[in-house]
Amino acid sequence: MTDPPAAPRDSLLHVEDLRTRFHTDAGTVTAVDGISFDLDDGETVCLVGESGSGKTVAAESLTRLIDDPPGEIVSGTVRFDGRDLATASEAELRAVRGDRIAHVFQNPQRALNPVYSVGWQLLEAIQLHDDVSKADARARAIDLLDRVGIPDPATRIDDYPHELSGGMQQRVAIAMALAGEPDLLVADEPTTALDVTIQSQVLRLLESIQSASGLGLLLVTHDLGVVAEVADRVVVMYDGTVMERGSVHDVFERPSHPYTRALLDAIPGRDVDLTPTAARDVADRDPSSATDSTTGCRFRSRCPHAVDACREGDQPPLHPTPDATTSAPDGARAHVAACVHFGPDGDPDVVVDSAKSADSGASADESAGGDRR
Amino acid sequence: MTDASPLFEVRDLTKHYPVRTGLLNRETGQVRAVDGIDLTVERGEAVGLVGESGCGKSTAARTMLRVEEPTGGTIRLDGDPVTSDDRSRLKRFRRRAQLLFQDPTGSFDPRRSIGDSVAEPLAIHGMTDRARRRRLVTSTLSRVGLDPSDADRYPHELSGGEKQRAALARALILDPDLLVADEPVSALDASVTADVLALLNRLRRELDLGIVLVSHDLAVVREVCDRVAVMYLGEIVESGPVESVFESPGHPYTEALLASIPVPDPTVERRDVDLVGEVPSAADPPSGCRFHTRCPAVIPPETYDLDGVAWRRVHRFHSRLERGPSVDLDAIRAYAASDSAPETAPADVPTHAVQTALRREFDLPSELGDDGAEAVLDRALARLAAGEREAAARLLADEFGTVCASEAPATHPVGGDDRQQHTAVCHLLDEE
Repeated sequence: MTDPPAAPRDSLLHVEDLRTRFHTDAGTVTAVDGISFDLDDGETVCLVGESGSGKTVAAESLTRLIDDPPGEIVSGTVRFDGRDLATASEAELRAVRGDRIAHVFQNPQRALNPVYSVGWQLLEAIQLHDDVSKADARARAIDLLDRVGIPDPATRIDDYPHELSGGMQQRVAIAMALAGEPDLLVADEPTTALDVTIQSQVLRLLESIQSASGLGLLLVTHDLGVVAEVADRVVVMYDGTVMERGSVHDVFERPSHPYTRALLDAIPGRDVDLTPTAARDVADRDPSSATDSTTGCRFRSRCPHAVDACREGDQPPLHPTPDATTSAPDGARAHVAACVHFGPDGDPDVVVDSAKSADSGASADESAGGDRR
Repeated sequence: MTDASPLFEVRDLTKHYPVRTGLLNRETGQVRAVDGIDLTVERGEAVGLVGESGCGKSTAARTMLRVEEPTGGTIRLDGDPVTSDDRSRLKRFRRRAQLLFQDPTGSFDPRRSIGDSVAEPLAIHGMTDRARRRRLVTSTLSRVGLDPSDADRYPHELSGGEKQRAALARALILDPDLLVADEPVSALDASVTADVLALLNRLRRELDLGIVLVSHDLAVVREVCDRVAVMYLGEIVESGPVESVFESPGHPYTEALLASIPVPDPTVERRDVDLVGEVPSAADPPSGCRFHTRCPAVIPPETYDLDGVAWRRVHRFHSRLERGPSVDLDAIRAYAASDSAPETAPADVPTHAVQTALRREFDLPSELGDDGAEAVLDRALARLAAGEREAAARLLADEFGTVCASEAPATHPVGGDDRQQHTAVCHLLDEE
């Protein structure tokens, strides 16, 4: 499937300080404001955040799928396999899209053409990437459908998209993404439109595809449950910036940024840690605040631990957290949080300790609930 | 059973939609969206109704409030039957039972202020005093955590969470006894969801409100509800107290649903559940137990010694032949041809190659592990390859029949404690 790396390289995908703006009538919106992360072969990285956090724009900026205008990638590097996609020509990008980096979207209807059969569309994708005969392409299309778990693939291949359920359509969209044997699959909320039972099937499918072919997976989601199940590493986004980044174990077991903690607390079945007013403020964020007027930490006004230092400058840089034990102390794999309390002059206990006491109180209350551990 | 009648009681509720086809628009079948469900809600109690999309839970919610006319069954509020023949009685029922929808944006008129929309039910039910309406709107808005000044704002000025609060205010303004909430939080972000659920819980306590919460999300139900009913294809397959149902589910479907929920904790190993496929059409539900076509615990026949996976694959293949779309033998031959040695015409593909392709097509293992069963499957595949699908299905039915497909299961108590009222409808609980 994937070529063995000729020389050791740092990572399959290296995103640094990516900034994407949209020029709208109401002003310029910086949807993605300087995000950085890495992704390796065979690794799953999750971009997680609420609606409006810029996670989808970030994912679509990688291969410049965003419309330009109004969108514009202002600065930053997207180094994929040695090339910088942020500055690549349209022709170079076309060679990468689909062939090396494939996308799967939330809504499979959008990815499928309603007037062509599933087989026709799959054949098109296969023959676009490989010079094969029609019969061979058809056999490969059936294999692909079989691989993504479509029942009776030889019979269903001539179905039209509307004859398939949402879950089956998403499987077909995944099959089409796999047709070019990509090295990186960018899946944007691929299971959000599906039932939990089907979601679990599709997640397992993505995992098995990954272990079979070793592709890198960038999964964009709002669902922390999904993140915990599939991610190796997590990038928590809020208002266009990275709030916290680290291995899935670090982020879930030692969440550091107050925003990450608030997100985890908001999961039904876990206990709410924020005061109700603070929680409501998180909830009722005015979307127009995404226009360029903020200084300081973007989460400041909703943060229960905000201090004067949070007002100053730009979003704090990603500081290493003190208890990052499972990851390397520095570099792209470190557990880091963009919060002044984790900076050189800060005291992480302000954030972590307040929740520790809340945690112990919560587990005492919840003696019967088994969903925490 | 309590002495006094419960707040809300639904017995044997059914809703069938006719399927009309052809030039004359004749009724050729029925979609049994809701097929005989029972539900009881006490004052101050929250009951969850869960299931996958297409299981009929939303239809059940609309039908039990007579937003849609049920095909059959009885609905009682405080022991009084609710029927549509008495209009004033129905109007009284509609004042006491309110419905909250999933999409807060769609349930507000964009050209009316929030205050007007929230006050509308008051006007409909005969409150003519403007000032009094205004006072009630103000107090109800603050009850759901909005500012009284929000009454003068318009829907587009509110965030999703605020709109859902406003919708809740409109549902509560008539001081109802029962609230049926259909996926009230699934359009909202996680942090907003937590808030709206906390609000629902608080209102339930403060107003002694009975709640029916329809949701696909079991975590939401667990957060709010006292009891839960699990629906599959128009029927309730399990019901009982939330703790009991979630900790020790009695029905394989409930178990599979629970196992499918992603756990927000990376240290938890995922439970592997063999739940394949999707909810079949309610126009043609499977015989016996409706879940048998997907069930990971479908009861095997005693005549053969098959392991669980092999047996379920055979059973699924059998169900597929009984119910699924026609089998495209030409396509399978063509596929077998392209797979075999160079340049075989589809018509010349040897039978064994066609059978291999069929096994692949229907996800059957190459060896079942039991010689007798293997011989039967071989014969069935040969029939199918010869185009005799019905004969193949009959053979499989004779040899691999299961009680799950032939008989509808009865309702059994789960966990041996009748007082818990935890019941499931499954053959696995049949007395030996």
